[in-house]
Amino acid sequence: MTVKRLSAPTLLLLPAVLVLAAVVVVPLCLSFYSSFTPFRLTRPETFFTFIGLRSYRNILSDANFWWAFGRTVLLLTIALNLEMLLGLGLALLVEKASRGQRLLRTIMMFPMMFSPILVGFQFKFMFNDNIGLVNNALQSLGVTRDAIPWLIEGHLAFVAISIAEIWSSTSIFAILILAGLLAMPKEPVEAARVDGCTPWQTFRYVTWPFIMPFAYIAMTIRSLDVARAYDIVKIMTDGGPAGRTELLWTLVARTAYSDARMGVANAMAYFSILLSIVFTVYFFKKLAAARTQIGAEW
Amino acid sequence: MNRLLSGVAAGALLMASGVAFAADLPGKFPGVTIDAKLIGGQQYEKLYERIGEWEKATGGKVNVISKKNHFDLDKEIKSDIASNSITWCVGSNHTSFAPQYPGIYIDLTKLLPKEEIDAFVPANIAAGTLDGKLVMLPRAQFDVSALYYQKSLYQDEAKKKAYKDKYGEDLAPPDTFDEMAQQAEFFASPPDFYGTQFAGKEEAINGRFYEMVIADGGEYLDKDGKPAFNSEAGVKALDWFVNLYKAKAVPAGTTNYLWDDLGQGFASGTVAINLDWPGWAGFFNDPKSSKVAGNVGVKVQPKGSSGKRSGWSGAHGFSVTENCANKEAAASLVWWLTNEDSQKLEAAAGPLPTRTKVWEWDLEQAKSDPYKTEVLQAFQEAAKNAFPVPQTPEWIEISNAVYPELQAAILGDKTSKQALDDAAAKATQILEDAGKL
Amino acid sequence: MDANASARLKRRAATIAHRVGLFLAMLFICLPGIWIVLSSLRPTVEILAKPPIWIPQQVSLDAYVAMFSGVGKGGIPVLDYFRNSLIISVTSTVLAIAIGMAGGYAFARYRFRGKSAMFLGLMLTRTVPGIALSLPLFFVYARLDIIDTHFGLILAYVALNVPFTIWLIDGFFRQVPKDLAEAAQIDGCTRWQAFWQVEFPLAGPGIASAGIFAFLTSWNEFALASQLTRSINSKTLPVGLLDYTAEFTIDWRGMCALAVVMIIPALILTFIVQKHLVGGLTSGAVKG
Repeated sequence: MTVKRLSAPTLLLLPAVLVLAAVVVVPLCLSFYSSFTPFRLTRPETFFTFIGLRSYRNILSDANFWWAFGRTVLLLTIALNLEMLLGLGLALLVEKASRGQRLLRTIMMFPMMFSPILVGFQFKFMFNDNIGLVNNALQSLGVTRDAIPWLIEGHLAFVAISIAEIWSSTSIFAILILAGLLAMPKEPVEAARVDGCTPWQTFRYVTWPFIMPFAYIAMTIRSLDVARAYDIVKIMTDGGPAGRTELLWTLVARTAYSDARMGVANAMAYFSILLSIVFTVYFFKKLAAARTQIGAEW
Repeated sequence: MNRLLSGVAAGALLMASGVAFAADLPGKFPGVTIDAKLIGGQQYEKLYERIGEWEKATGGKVNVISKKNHFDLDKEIKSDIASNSITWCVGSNHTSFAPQYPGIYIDLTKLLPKEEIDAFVPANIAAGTLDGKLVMLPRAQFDVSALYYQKSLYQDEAKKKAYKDKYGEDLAPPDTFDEMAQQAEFFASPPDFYGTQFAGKEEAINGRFYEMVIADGGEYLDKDGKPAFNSEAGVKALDWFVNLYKAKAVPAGTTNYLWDDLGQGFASGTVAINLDWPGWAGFFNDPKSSKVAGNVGVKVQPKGSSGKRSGWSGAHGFSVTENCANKEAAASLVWWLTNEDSQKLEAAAGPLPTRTKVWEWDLEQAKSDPYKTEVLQAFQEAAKNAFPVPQTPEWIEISNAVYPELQAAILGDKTSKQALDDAAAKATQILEDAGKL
Repeated sequence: MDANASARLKRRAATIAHRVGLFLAMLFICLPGIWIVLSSLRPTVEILAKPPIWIPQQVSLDAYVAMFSGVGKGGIPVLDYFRNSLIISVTSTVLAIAIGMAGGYAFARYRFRGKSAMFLGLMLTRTVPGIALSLPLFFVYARLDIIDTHFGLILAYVALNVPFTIWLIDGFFRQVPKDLAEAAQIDGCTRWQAFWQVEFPLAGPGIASAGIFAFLTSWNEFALASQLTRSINSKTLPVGLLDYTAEFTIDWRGMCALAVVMIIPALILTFIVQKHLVGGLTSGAVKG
């Protein structure tokens, strides 16, 4: 038997592929299969009943599911874009600072050190209508006399959740874009300045194209990782009240464990994966485009 | 006849197993290792110091393979059932969750002497009994709600007079839910002060609604197991929440509150009356955690319109699995963790016991402490009206389907009747899917 | 006013605007954190109060003392959790970086068939929401008997971190001009030496930020940890946070104290590692 020599890239990629296959692909096949069964956790024998696409048909004809789906897309769109803008601003601010860089960068990453659960409790208590920090501050400053029902009124709850989410995740954008800024050669900027470009022009035509790939990387990483927001939303509102803040993940998690209807939950989860795939592929394309552009300039 | 037979069978089993008499407990189990899954968290772990003493007394060994909070433990046990990996012996259990795990736990009456089981409060034993099987032995972590209120409000002459003028009645801590609602509206002055509050989501709101339906003379599930809460009593029960919310007698955020928000709210001194659990009694009266410390009164929970008091309750306990290799040793451990000494140890920190003798001991201990005596007396009275959740495995699932509808009614998205009809339809669907109807 | 003075004024204004902006941004970032720290030091009666108490009246370390006081006195096995968290996060970060560096290098420097598809495929493994993964993963782990072990969680976290580690490092390797390594090889280095001496230092910021990411992700991860850990053998700090919740009660102050204990090492590590974000650049060799 001849041992075929593996090519360098294959060898380099092998560990990654192996780990991902073991931890993600195999379990994924299991759960993919279970989405075609009426699998209930408390009745393991149901794992072997095949019901085809019934769960998918049921959820796709369920208005609540579509509402949750729409809300999730909306939250993602708003949160990701704001995080990107704020992250960019933050990175530029920090990069410009002449002193205290280490400290500033560390503070910039501060929210990343908070476990999502903690973020959930923290913002839930801060947005408490009766004794929370936010209403207390607003009332003390004389902005309002009322107890604003932050987590109750649909739009406000959406705002509150978005704030929590943005607070906890903007750092990711900031740090990646900052890393991009730091990796950027200084000459083009100097050259642009010598050529008499305004700061805005320099940013728009020199800096931005360079850091764009980093922004897209951050965007993609975040859109892959958005389910992280689940822990926050779960504790802040758990999709309520009356389903006003129901997101795909809260719906899936409740169905899966609390209701123990794992089969249906997996069907929903699979459908929601589509969402992530669409986002990912979109940013991936953008990233590739941005790269070619840089490649051309370099 | 049946009972007699099973009694004989149980007797035979006892003889065979050898753990027949209370005097024999805890028994000797040298070399036996018991794997246990226990509920974790500050409040629950003090008891586990007693495990070492059990090991010393019996020669057995306990291996704690999991320690988690209640909801994660529930998830974990469901995962174990699903993956067929129940390889452990003793598990923490709860009366509200127990019906979800049909068949994994043994009947403890077959392993423990009758006089030991009789030493528990009968209602607690009944709550732990499913289809005639005693699946768990309750520890001193029993929960039923009673009314906490700010005493000063009821001693304020101006308030007394104003109340008398307005309603023609004397102002005293409420004895019915109608009075409670009326007083809540009377005391409320939003956004600085509220009459009362309620936990408004998940099983919390459904549980409260459930007990109110019962107190209003209705049924949640009828005798055939069909959802029956969309009755007149159901609408009345739900209207209680709806009207309080409309009148702004409760904080606007209440539909998003869970127990933690409730406790913090009452402790902040901005809520007059609070129907809440015994676990908060110490917290409310501790000046370090509560503004109302020294000003807390406790009273038995109110009556509904049928004259019956509410009494949704639950108890933590321990169970032994069917898969356990050494069930006698496991049962001995379960007994040990729920025996008099163990219950005294737990009850001393505040939680309510489930053994009759320990209740007496607890009250005796509290003699020099008027607040604690008031708390215990109120909760002992409250415990008399206690009843568990409907013992159907689908309870939690029904809860999850019903609570968004209750919230919709409270927030005014739907009328009470409409919301309950929708909820009943969903609940019926769940029970049909489960093959129960 | 001459042009010079007005330019100076303008620059002055820009500096001030920059300072103010920076200060506001940092304030917004820090406030919730400071609130947590304060919450851990103040009695609960002051935290959620109405009317609010803005200036702490009584400050004490009670919550921290209680945390370490052992079971029954408000304590939790915080040292065990800490040890587990540290072992799991550090090991999984190191592994994820090693694997990610290999993969990232392969994508940045080699051409091979199905490269884009492969890359996308690796990324897409991250689209699986934890909730869809946790139960089947539990099934597999239960069969392999690695529930409640360090190994199990490390494996899961490596898988969690590898895709974006690859991605990030790939991005940084691409920024390092190919000619540098080629020049080194012409100078007589092997490819291996060229990598470590030329490309690795230049991709330093990328590796540092990927490392910080991987570490913080593992350090804070909850969903998988709550499913795959069970006892003090492997429970991590985020799971330990829930020790402060009971069925009906919560010890918010204790939770905040544990949160502070969690945040401090992460903060220190970030403070140290972030220096390397710039480390690779100082040489000024990024000319190509």
